[in-house]
Amino acid sequence: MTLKAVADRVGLTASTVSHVLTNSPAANSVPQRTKNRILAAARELNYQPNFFARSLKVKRSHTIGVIAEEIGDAYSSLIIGGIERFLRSHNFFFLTVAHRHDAKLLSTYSNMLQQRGVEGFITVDTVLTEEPPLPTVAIAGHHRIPRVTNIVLDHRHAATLALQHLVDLGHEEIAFLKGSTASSDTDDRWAAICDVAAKLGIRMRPELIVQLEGVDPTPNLGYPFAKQLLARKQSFSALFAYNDISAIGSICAFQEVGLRVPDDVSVVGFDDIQSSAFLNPPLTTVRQPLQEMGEIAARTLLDRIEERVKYVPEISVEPELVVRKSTAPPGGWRPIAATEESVTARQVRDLLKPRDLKLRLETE
Amino acid sequence: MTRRNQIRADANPRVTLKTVAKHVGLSPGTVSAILNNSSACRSVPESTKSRTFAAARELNYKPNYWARALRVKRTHTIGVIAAEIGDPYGSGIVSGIERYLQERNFFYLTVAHRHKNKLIESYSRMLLERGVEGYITVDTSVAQPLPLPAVAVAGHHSVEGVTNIVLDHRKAVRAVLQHLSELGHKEIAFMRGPVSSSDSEDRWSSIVQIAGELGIPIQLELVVELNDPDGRAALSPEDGLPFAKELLGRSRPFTALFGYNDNSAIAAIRVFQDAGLRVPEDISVVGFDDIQAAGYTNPSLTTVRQPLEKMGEIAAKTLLDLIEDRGEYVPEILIEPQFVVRQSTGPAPRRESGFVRASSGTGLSSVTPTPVS
Repeated sequence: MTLKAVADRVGLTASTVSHVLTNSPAANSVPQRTKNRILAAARELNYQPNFFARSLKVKRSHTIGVIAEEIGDAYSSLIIGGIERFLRSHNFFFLTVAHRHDAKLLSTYSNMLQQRGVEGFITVDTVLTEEPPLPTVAIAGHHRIPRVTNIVLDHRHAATLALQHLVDLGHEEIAFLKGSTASSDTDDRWAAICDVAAKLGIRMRPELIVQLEGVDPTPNLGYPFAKQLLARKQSFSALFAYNDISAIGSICAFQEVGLRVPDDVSVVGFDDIQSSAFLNPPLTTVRQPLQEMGEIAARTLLDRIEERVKYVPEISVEPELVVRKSTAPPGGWRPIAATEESVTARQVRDLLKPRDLKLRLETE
Repeated sequence: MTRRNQIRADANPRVTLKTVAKHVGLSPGTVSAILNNSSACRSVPESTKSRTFAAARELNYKPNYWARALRVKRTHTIGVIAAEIGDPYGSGIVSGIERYLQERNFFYLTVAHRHKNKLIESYSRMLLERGVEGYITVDTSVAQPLPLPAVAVAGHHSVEGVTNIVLDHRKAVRAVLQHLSELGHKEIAFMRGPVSSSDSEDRWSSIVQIAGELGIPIQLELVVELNDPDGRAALSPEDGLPFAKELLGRSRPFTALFGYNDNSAIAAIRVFQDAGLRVPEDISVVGFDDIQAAGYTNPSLTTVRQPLEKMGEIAAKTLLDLIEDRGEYVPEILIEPQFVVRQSTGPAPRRESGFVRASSGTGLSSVTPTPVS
């Protein structure tokens, strides 16, 4: 369906129709009524401008493919938001696919995107096993793949920010929730924590270290493991959790036995997800600049596509410490004291026990 | 590696099917069947297939999608124009859109205008030039007809040719007010949304109507409007604090509050607790949206959930039906809300033990909980 067909339908010149459809300044003098008539005709006739013909001529699609594990969660959506922001200001578009952990989908998708003429890929939290056929940037990519640039957080710096903050407050007995083996960040983060703790003279006691298991995206990720920590009856004045979600679960576990955060135990999270600021108490955490990571990935990819820069295997991104209200100087809490006051503790626990969450569909 | 790069750098204009075929010594037809995984290549040995794929990769062969699109006049691509895509609302909807399109081999291009209305028109034009076959707008006011089939999620204007996907506000409000009413609440305070928020009007008129039906009086002293011209009052709990304080500062007591959204409800809980009031023992609080934080606040929030992913899926289905002439155009599709009961609502306190407004300065924020009889 050509411009001319639309013009014929509405009885106007092709150039007037073109001005209106492309909303060029020349269309300012066209009455709104006429504009509406043209738009309606274009819709009716299923008019499509000849982008493909142009694309064929210039052999560029100015489009990239974004391959993410998920797109609706707090982590990826912020990253994709950053990618969009950068591409938009550089007149690039992107196609998005979510493979939701399905390896077969992943390879189908990269083929389909390639067929669509994308000029490169950005992967988000996705495990690549072979070198992709186009320039590629991997966010939170922990494997070295030839010619793929990994965008990763500076975990050493992150560990330093969190632990220095606790040391400055006077904490010596620090407990840790180590990430589960299923999480790709676990190894890097843990190695950095051990390293930095040694440098700051923090003693890492095995009885104060609990490893998470599973990939639950809710506070249940941390809750049972914080309970485990409490059951060991070792005193600690601060907890550095693996991430915000497990920190939230831990705070629940502490509050349930009558411990106050931060008066009795300080808690530090990791990520700075949106809810961290709204908790009671608001969470002190290490922020990953997710949106910025998206922007950096997009810029790096465009630079590669247009051959402006040399390939680098890794770009590390700086974290930031966000101090809110879940950290304070150490209180005098000792597990032995908690046992003596067990009656009070039980009373408090009973009061704070969450009622069953009821979800009902309103059918009226 | 360098070799591949050179092929690209040379901008070798025509790595066609023929080039690949010549490289592997097969006919273009066979190569096409292999690369498209068509049934015609079932008899081709696996080793030949992988050799062909390797060659295609090596030569950086890109099938001429655009030439084909030009021939069949279809791109199987739609454009998504959203206010935001990084927030829980926008990303939830987009995720649902993606899920539906993926099953139908459709792709989408996304743009976010971040409330800059001027951008909306230029984006719709750019997407049109990219050959999208239709639009989905998210939380975006479309003032003018668009040149292609369009579906608007949370669209409140009626625009010719655009199908609006909107939450059933009346049903949502009815669930909330009935719940509070069953718990014995009669003195209910309301937070009214800012004028700039597109949901405000629908929500408020639903509240007025349903409250009337249920015999719940709406007292002007118990209504506070989040009157912020930029709509920021609804964006974060911090921005909602002054409005909750204002409500508490008025002399009329109340036993329940219906916030405009979760953020303003969370703000209210903090203000109430700082004033020494207990939620829900003294005041019940209900939010709207069910953002992630609603489940983690202390107490966790009773609220109305908008099924965002589902709204995205319905939008995508409606648009594809319009594009492929399967469905009749309807101006509006209503979405069912879900009511989520958590810890922030409880029975209304009996008058004598109920909330007597704490005089300012008696901050009992760390009050020791006492058993509720």
